[in-house]
Amino acid sequence: MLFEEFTILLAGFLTLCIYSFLYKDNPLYRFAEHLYVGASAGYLFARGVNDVLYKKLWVPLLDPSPGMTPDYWLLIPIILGIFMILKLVPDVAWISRWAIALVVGGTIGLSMTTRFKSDVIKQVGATIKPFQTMQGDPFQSLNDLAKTSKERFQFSGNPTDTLNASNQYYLKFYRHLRYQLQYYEGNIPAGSPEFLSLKQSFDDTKKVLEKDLVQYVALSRDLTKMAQLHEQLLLHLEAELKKVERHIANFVTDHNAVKKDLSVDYLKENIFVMDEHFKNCVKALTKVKQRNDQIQKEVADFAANIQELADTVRLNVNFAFPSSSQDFIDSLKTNYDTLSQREKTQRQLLSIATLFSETAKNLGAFEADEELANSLGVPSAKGYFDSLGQWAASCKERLGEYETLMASDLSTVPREEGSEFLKAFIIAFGVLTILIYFFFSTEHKGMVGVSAKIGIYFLMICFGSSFGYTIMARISLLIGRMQFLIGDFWSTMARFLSGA
Amino acid sequence: MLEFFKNLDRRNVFLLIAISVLLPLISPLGLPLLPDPEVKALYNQIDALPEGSKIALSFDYDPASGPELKPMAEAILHHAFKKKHKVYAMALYPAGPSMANEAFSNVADIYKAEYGEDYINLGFYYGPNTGLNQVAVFCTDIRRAFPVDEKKKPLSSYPMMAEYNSLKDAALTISLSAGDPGVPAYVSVANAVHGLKIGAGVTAVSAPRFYAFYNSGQLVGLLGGLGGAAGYEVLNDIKGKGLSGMDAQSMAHLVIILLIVFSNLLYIIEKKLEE
Repeated sequence: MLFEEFTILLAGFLTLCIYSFLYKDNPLYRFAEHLYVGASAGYLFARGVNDVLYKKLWVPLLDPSPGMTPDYWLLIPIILGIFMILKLVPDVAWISRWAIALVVGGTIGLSMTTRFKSDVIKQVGATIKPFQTMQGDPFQSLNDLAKTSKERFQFSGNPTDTLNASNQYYLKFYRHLRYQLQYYEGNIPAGSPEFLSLKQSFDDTKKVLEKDLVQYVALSRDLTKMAQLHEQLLLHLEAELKKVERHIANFVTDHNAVKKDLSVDYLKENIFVMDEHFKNCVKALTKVKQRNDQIQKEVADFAANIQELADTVRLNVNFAFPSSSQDFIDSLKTNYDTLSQREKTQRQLLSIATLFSETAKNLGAFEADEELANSLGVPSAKGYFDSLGQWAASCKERLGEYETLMASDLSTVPREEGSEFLKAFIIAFGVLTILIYFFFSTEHKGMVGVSAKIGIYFLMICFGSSFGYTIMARISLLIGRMQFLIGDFWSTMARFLSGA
Repeated sequence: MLEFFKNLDRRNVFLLIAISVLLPLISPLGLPLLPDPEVKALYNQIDALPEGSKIALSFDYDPASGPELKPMAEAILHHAFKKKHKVYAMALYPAGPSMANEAFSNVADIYKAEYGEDYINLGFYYGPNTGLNQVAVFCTDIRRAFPVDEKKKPLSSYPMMAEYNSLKDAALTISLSAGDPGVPAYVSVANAVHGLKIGAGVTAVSAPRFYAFYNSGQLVGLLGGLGGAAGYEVLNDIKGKGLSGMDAQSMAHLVIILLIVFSNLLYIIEKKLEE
């Protein structure tokens, strides 16, 4: 019997011993229980000795790595550790309090700065945040937008990074427009601070769009260059393919000529490998060729579209702030539509980026990245054609968000906000009533009593759901053991009993 | 009759539960399963990452929680390897590295993932039980915690470690946690202090506590118990241990619910009779 089979049988036997307690207490259960406790204690002791005493004290102090000096600071924790053990000596047990105080103080200090932030500040923030959103303060979304536009103006990077930053800006701008449309429909106090702030946000957006145009033009130039290199790439790949073909032919000729004493299997294997490589290269080249036409067409379309978008932004987009409320609403709708044109351009860009990154994947078949890169005059052929890949992935995610946003009715706020508010209200109400229940300085009578009573119901629901999860956890453990018993254990047992 | 049920030996209940678990395992029922939004959120996070992204996976559990957390680990690895992401395993539990090895050995070969190139097991880093110190070190200098990997080889000898110096280099950190140390430490330090994206897979017992972190945005996704693992398997289109156990889980829950309802009915009837 193999050791592995023995351990499976032993584990199964011990599992059954433990389960036998469900019938009644018995020596087999006691044996398994004591074995488990003993083995666990022994394991933890061994880990303590190895991970702490040996690795963290012995090695750095007495056996440091070559070139390292002993770390004498470690004498302090050693002394504190000895203090801790002195708790066992009644006469000097008080010394252990120093070590305990340091451990407790240090732990609290660390927890105060981390857990307070994660468990208190962020949780309280998350509880009240939905109410802030629902509060309907027009300045809130304006301020958010102003902050984002400021970040957008300060952002500097390559064209794809800056356009990605713009994507985030526009996502907020769309939300802002919808929000403002809801708030101001038929009610714009002309000349008011809100009026002026809105005007500012319109001006900012126009600037962002104009800045984007510069990036688009730069990107269009880059893409045209990439498309030209893609054309050249085809020629280089064809040359690479011929090299591979020649290599196979030379291999066969050389071995026939010198009549080396090589086995037929060796030759077959090598030729098979080279042939597979050749086939892969042919397949990859075919794909790149097919894709080339599409790339040339899409890049040309993109350049034309950029020109069109530039004309639209410079000539047609009405970012002048309207004077009446109806004009304002019409203007919001017009600008919303105009900005959606930009997203179509982004989609086209995504498609081109995907095409280039697919070519980058095909280049893997040739195993000649350096040669290709040299011939194209770029640092890495694969890297060059995949340079937009990462940006494309994040752009895809953002476009998904736009799709959801733009598919909804412009004149209504997103539906989930209502349910979010209800959820937030229930949570906040529950938190408040539970806190009241635990406030014992006031007698639980009248309103306080009612609130405390509601708090108890919330607590009961919480405990009930936690209990449900606990049952799920325990049943999962039972399932795990059952799967082991009817799987590995049973099959091993059957083999053992049949003598196989 | 009432007396019979009132004095029913509790071992009959054990037997009923055992049968309700065993039968679906032997003969699966194929009950439908819909993944929860928090499971979808974690799936989408990994799915949206560009190919070759770095994912830090912390194996913060031991065999006692294996039936719940191992299916999660394997489902996440399937997804990560399918998307050609790099996986960096570490552990706040002493038994964590063994759990990681087990999960890698079950999944890596399917996707021809290579040790040191596509995944690595950094090992266990000892520290106080809260895990705060350990995660703080992971967030600043991973080499300080793990000068060598689980195989005792220097990290510099692995190509995938070239651009991985701390958790900040990972696009996503996921803690598969049986309690403390685990998710709370990653949320408190990696998220709250360093602003890193954290996902979590937790045992069902501790799941209610972590839903608050998911709702507040401190966790980007959450798998709770075997149900969470099964939901992830559905999204990933694989049939793992999570899904195979869910029929048994559902049946056992049904039996428990029926028993609770039945016991309450008996209680009400008894009250009525007393009156």
